[in-house]
Amino acid sequence: MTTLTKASETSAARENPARRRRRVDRLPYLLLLPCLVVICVLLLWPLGQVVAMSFFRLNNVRQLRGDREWPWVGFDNYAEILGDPFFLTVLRNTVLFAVANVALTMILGTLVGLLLNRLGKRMATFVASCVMLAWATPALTGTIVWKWMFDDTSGLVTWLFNALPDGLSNALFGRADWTGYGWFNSPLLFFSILTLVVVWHSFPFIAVSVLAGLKSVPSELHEAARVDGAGPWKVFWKITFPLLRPVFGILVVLSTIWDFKVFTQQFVLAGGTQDRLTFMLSIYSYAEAFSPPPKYGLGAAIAVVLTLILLLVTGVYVRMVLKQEEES
Amino acid sequence: MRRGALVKRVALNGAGLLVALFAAFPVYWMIATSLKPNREIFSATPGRCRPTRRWSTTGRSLPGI
Repeated sequence: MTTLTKASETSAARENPARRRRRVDRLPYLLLLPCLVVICVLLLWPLGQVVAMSFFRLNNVRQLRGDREWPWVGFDNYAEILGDPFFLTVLRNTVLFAVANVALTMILGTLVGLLLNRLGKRMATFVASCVMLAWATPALTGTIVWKWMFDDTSGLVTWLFNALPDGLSNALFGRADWTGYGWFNSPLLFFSILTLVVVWHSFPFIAVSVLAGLKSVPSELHEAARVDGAGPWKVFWKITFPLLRPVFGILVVLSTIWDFKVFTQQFVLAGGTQDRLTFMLSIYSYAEAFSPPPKYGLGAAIAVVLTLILLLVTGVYVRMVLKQEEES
Repeated sequence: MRRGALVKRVALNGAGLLVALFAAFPVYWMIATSLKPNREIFSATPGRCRPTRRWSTTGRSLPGI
């Protein structure tokens, strides 16, 4: 009896790992399958479609429906974009805007994260909740509110500037009456307001991520550095930053991707696609594709160029981070 | 030393309040606007927020709606 149970036990033990291993081998893929299907249908298929469209001349909505044939033009769409001097203006706008916004978002977000870490518990909760309100506001709604505030007659900012003493306003800006002032007319002012809106929308995520990173750094390290006579500036660059380097790395990559493809905020603030001087790649792609006369192929080609630039930027940065980790 | 600590605390909390104001003000403004009658939304001076219960009807009287 005892030998029998022992034997069956050992046979079960011998059999079990093999069976378990086989099951474990297949199960993860099975569990991943729904996700993969969703990604393929929602992400990869449209992406492939855009790449395909960029090689055809598509000027009619009937072609998209499949009623008319698609004439193959090879790389003509790309040649047309890259040969257009206007593309350089758009590229310059995009790169300058992205660099300025990533820098400002990272600086403000990091400072707010450090501040939240230093505040008392109740105050930190209050400030963090307010900051998360900005993060939770949808891009469209938030931008519409900012646009109201910069309205040229009933906007809050116009009212504030009107409320300045006339002498001061004249001395600083050369005008006292701000009613009817077009806040979005000059490209520089437009980009400043766009930067304000985009930074307002994106700094909460950086702040909360940096705060989460800071919570994981043992406070003894900071105390030791402070005892050794390091100021806040030195403590940040010698201790906090090296420890949180992976966090900052991924945050910079994410911000770069988000700020390169800003569309909603620009479309709402500019009120459509008329203001060609302030075009950036994503709105340029949209305008070429959908504003009459439609050029879907050209728009798709611009979108592919934008994607390639993003892949390049991200790839370079990821390699840099990996190299730094190997060295240290 | 104690005075320095107090100044630091005031500065930190003041900065916290400024950040909270900057982040939450547009959201507050959105809610305040939703409670105003049209006349006040489009007036040149932002009046005090006197909540109206008529927004559901004034919404329909907007031009183009």
